[in-house]
Amino acid sequence: MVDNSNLKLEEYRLDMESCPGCRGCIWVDHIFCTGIKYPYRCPSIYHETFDAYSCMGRNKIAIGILNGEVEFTPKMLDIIYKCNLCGACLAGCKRNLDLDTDMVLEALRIRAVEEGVAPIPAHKAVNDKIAESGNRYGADNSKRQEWLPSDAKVSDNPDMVYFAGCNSSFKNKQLAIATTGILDAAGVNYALFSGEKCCGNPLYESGDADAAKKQAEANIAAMKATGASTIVTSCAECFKVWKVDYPKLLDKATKDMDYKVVHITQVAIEKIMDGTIKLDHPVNMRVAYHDSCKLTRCSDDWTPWHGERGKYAVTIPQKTFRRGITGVIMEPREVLASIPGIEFKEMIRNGMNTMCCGAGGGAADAFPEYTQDIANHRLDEAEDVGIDALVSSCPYCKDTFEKAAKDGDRSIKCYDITQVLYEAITGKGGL
Amino acid sequence: MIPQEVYKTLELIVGQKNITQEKEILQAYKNKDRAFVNPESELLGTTPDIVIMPKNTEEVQAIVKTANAYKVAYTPCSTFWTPQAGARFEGCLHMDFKRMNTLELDAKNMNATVGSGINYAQLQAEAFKHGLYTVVSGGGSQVSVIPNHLSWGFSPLTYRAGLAPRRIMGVEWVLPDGEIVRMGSFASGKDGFWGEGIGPDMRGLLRGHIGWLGSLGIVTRMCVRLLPFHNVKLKPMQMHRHTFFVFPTDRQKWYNFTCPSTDVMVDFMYEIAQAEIGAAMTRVPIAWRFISRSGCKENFWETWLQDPVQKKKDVEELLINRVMLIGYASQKQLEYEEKVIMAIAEKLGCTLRRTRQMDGSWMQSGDSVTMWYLTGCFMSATGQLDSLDASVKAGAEFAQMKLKYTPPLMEDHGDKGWFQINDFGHSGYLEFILHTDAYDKDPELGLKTAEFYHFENPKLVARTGGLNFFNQVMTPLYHDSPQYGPNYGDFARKVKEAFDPDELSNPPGVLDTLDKVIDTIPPLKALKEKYEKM
Amino acid sequence: MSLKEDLTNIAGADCVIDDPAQMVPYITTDSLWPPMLPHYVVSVKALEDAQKVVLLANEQKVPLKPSSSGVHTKETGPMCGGIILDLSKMKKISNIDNRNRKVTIEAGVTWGELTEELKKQQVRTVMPLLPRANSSVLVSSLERDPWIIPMFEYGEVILSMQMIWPTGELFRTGSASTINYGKEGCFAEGCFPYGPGPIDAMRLMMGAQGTMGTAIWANIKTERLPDMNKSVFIPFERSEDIIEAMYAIQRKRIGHECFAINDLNLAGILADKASDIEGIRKQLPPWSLLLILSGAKWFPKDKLAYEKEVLYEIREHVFPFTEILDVIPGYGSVNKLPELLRNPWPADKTYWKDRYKGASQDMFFITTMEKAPVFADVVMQIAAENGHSINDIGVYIQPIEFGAGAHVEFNFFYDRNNAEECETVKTVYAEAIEETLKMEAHFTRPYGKVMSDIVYEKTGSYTMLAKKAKKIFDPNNIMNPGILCF
Ligand SMILES: Cc1cc2nc3c(=O)[nH]c(=O)nc-3n(C[C@H](O)[C@H](O)[C@H](O)COP(=O)(O)OP(=O)(O)OC[C@H]3O[C@@H](n4cnc5c(N)ncnc54)[C@H](O)[C@@H]3O)c2cc1C
Repeated sequence: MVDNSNLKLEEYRLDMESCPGCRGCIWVDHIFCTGIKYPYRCPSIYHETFDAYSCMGRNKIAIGILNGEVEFTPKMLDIIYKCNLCGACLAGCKRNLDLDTDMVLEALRIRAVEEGVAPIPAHKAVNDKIAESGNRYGADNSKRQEWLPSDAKVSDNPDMVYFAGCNSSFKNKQLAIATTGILDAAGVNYALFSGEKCCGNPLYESGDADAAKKQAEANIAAMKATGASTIVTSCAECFKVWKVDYPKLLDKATKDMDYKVVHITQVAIEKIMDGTIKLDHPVNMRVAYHDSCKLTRCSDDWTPWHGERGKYAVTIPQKTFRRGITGVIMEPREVLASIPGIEFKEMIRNGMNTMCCGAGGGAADAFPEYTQDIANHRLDEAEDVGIDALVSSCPYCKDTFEKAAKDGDRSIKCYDITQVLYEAITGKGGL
Repeated sequence: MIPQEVYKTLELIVGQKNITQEKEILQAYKNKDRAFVNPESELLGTTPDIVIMPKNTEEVQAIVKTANAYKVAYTPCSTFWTPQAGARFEGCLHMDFKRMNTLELDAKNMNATVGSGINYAQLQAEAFKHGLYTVVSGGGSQVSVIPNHLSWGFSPLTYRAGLAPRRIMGVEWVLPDGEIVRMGSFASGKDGFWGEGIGPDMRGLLRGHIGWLGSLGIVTRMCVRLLPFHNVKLKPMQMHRHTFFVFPTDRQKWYNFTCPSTDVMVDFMYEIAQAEIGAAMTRVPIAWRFISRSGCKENFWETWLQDPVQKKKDVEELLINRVMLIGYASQKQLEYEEKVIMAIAEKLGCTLRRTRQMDGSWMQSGDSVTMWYLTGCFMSATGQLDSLDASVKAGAEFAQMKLKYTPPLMEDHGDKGWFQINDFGHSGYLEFILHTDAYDKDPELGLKTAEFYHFENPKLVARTGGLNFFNQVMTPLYHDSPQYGPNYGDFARKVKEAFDPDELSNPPGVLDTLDKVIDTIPPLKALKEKYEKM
Repeated sequence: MSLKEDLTNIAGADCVIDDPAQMVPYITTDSLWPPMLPHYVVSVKALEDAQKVVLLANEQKVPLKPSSSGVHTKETGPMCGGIILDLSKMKKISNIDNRNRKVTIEAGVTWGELTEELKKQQVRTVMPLLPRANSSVLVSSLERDPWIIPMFEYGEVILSMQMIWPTGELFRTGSASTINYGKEGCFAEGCFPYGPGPIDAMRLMMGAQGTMGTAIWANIKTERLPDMNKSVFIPFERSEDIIEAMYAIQRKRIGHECFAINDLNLAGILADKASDIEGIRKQLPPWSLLLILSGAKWFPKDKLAYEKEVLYEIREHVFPFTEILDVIPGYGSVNKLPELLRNPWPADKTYWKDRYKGASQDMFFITTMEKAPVFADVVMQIAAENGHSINDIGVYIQPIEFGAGAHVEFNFFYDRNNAEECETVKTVYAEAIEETLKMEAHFTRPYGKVMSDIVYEKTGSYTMLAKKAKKIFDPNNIMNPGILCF
């Protein structure tokens, strides 16, 4: 049983009940709405259309669960899990209101696990692999860092450790290679994360908070052992987990953690600006940047809250609200803009208004058709913008787009930003 | 329970994917817990039996005909932002119009034909692309265009862009019995560019100063008038939680003027209108300034309740007229209008304050939702439509009466309401936004709020002569309604009886809602009886 | 008691007419189709008396037709038998309210009277193109005559209204509906046009040609009468070009009066005497755009300056091939235009449409401006095919609401005493309606049986709705039966 009140559904009853139903959770911010074609930022409602598949609907469902009016049926699980936990609702709701309705989505999953109806089979399969092997693929975790190029300038006494994540360690190894290449060019004192295991994102997003917490504790202990104080990721999910979910699971504030998390684009842009990283190899391409939801909206610092409500439900002590607005948004753009040859275009929905690729929240594992539909929708948008390549900063986005593009016979290329940057630095990105 | 037979018939109309009776999904359509200071959704609201999502007029017609055949009541919902949308009785068919998301814009002839699922943000963004604009409801651009044109349609932009009923052009309307009527120029062809009917204008049945709120059939397509704007792009920006447009200041600007007294502010508004300049004009209630400056609710309350004596003074004395000028035709137009407004301000002794050249509230906004964050609920009790002078005079009386009900109403330091001038100065607008503590469930407080909202307030509206666009059609006892016109309630009821004898279209209808609700709640019923005798 | 006695009791003996000879002023129309006689004409001066007449008619199920000025153009003439309720003696103009910019007028107030009265205070109401001085302002407003100022802001002039439902109940619309309207302690001034409640009686009355009720008085919008103007005359060879010019001008929201008119109609307006028409016409271009830029209350010169600048910019981009002129050939300075267009056509002068050949059969509808030239071609062709000279057709195109739509009017001029010509015009008229209707002309004002029969047959669902509504408000079908679709 999870004993952390911040993860409990009951904790958010007031937030659910205060939802006026404005649907800020589904639309692109109204000021940024560009018309009839791409109005939603919530993938779930785009795909399923019934209100239940929106944060607003899930809030009402959650009230129903608390009131014992509805149960965790298979349909209910479909509703709860066909959601990317992409923070569209977080940013939308918090533009105007101080309701933590997005946490309802996470707490619902945790509740489902507590009730014994989740993790759903597809997630359980992944979780089991993580438990058994330490990675989401069930691969031999001892081979996790085999991708490391022999000439990488890893340090024995690092300031910064690179947490590559399962995907780049086993599947898209070129991303991990590119990342170390960038770190080398940046001249930072780094090392790989020794004893790296899955960050635990699949565990947490499946609702298994206990398992996720254990994963967090193990990884944090391993982090301590490296002696470094900064962790760098190239994966948006790992970034979010280290920055938000670990403190959340441990009931601590991000600022009180013993480490700092940075994304590779944050490291890179600083070193591009000060001239350390040289971009000698033009990349002649029209590209747009797909903001990965976890990096953009889901990465505001976590601050736990334990308090009470006063008149008009004011929080005492004052709660620090996450609004999905302090994520990594500008840095990837600045990186791309500084690469010679690149013609940069914005997606119609960009920055805070991005739409998830469709993979997030465990959807790719559980609902591949759903994920593919969202990815195709996003690729349509990219094609409307008129580009050669869609660049993202999360290996899962890349995988998802690549698959959809291939299945759909689209000519558009899908890259991770580390690949593009590595190409600009070394000419060896293999684009 | 709606019989399975009906479900099967409906399924044939829209396809399996677009209809459901799965209780998990229905739960999301429950019309309760919606944080309105209004007993309707709280007391009447319930979960529908079926949710159905038609795609076009023909499907809506088939659904309505089926509903008539089986005497099933249905509730039309566009973006479901009002308590009058959604199930308010057992056994109801909830029609969700999300899939009716067509928009055809005729830039040359300045109109757009929209389906009921299109919201204002979408329409406005499309209109801007062609140097055109519409009035986005002050309720926010998340609301859909059709129901807002059908029922309200106010914002400070109505000063220049006129009132919503005027901007309703061709209409495709599925009557409560399922007949399709094509109104305006849709009666003559495919182009909905014109609103007037052939002979008598049947838009007179569609809405008056407010609308039927779904209880007289369903408008499936509406062509709405767009108006010429300037053709410079408004740049969207985000700073912290706020999103807004940055104005191109050679074509569009806000001006905040401090006025020495309410009388002068009113004169100022009239004079601007007589000068035939300006695009929007409104008084800014002080609380709004605190809302926009506070980062969160806690911050608002901390500052709002500080130094009540000074606050009262501020509310009395900090009188801000906020005016938007637009150089529709050219930069020179804006310069001309600025020259005029400054001259008028000087004549009247009003001073220009520093004004930020951005807008996140009216052009294409989602701001109204912030109204909820103060106390967790929201309701406008009164909105008066007549001359600006009448609005302001009534506002003073309301403010006085409100004192007796504060608390439970939120402390507003005597604010005299939000007023603005409409229709190029030919009429005015007053609105009192009410807040009570949504989290304080003390029944005594609830009763006192109800007394204010449902009895005292309408009495005052009637006495001062306001045309109330909130609760007039819903007032118990018909404090004002039957006497207005006089007896418009009778005529409206005749219309309802002729078109929807079985009361299937969004029951309870607007004319009966509150009586039906109140009679079911003993303490409110007792109150009603007390007022009946008075 | 006979109906006549009842009417006499209400209005007094000298206000009830049953002698056909005396009825002439009430039934004369300029129509090609003969008028029909009522049984009685009853003149009233007060709301209460009007109500009594309606109550009586409803009770006895006698047809009733309100009449406000005795000018029956456009075949709004009386039905067969029944009562004409003459309101032309109700001439009160009151509450000239320059703060809210409105005035209260009774049904009998004419354009001539109102214009004169308002002028004294430097105000005006928007006006159709040269209405007859002795026609009713309220009827013009209800019947949606197109205003020659296409500004959206100036449109929809009726703010509120006192009416009588066909069943005899009194009703005030808009914010005049409030309980104590007009009484001490009530703040309402009747400025808000819609409602009360979810129905809009004012709308139902509009375009209804007296079938939905009787309007007694109304608050209508007034606007400032500008004292500084810059009129321009822009000649065009092709209707397509004049349309594009009007689109551009209206999109920029500049100017007040603005319309397009063909040579024959303009000559008919500008000529001092009928015999000058042909001469002037020869000097005019096929199409003329008349535009009056007007100063406002504050810094009128500055306003004119920016509007002029915009106009010249438009010219450069849209019609560089033509000039913006200060003189109208055959007429003189454009500076005379404001005086001409801001006053009604004098009652003592043959109406401009009747000057050329003595009579005009008008056909008009609403369409988008861009379609107007196509309609013009079709109508001309029908005329030619039927032997009506296309030289005898006036055309007037009035943009409405910044040109979002247009009133397109064809005037088939004919000689009333030439039977053959009358027959030709009848044929052309009916055929033109048929053909333009096929092309989606929107006939919002189907006057006369010929037009309304053709139009309503094609607009089934709307007709059904109108009939259903009529039944609700006029269960005995007493108000002007037999016209429109009723
Ligand atoms: C906080 C707040 C502030 C507001 N401020 C303003 C304001 O400043 N100005 C203003 O104009 N309004 C204001 N409103 C009102 C708001 O604009 C309306 O609630 C809005 O238009 C409703 O749109 P919706 O799409 O959510 O309609 P819904 O809630 O879906 O429907 C509204 C009503 O119309 C009916 N309906 C829906 N679709 C149709 C259809 N196709 N045909 C027939 N009937 C239909 C429904 O049954 C319901 O009764 C405010 C509302 C709130 C809650």
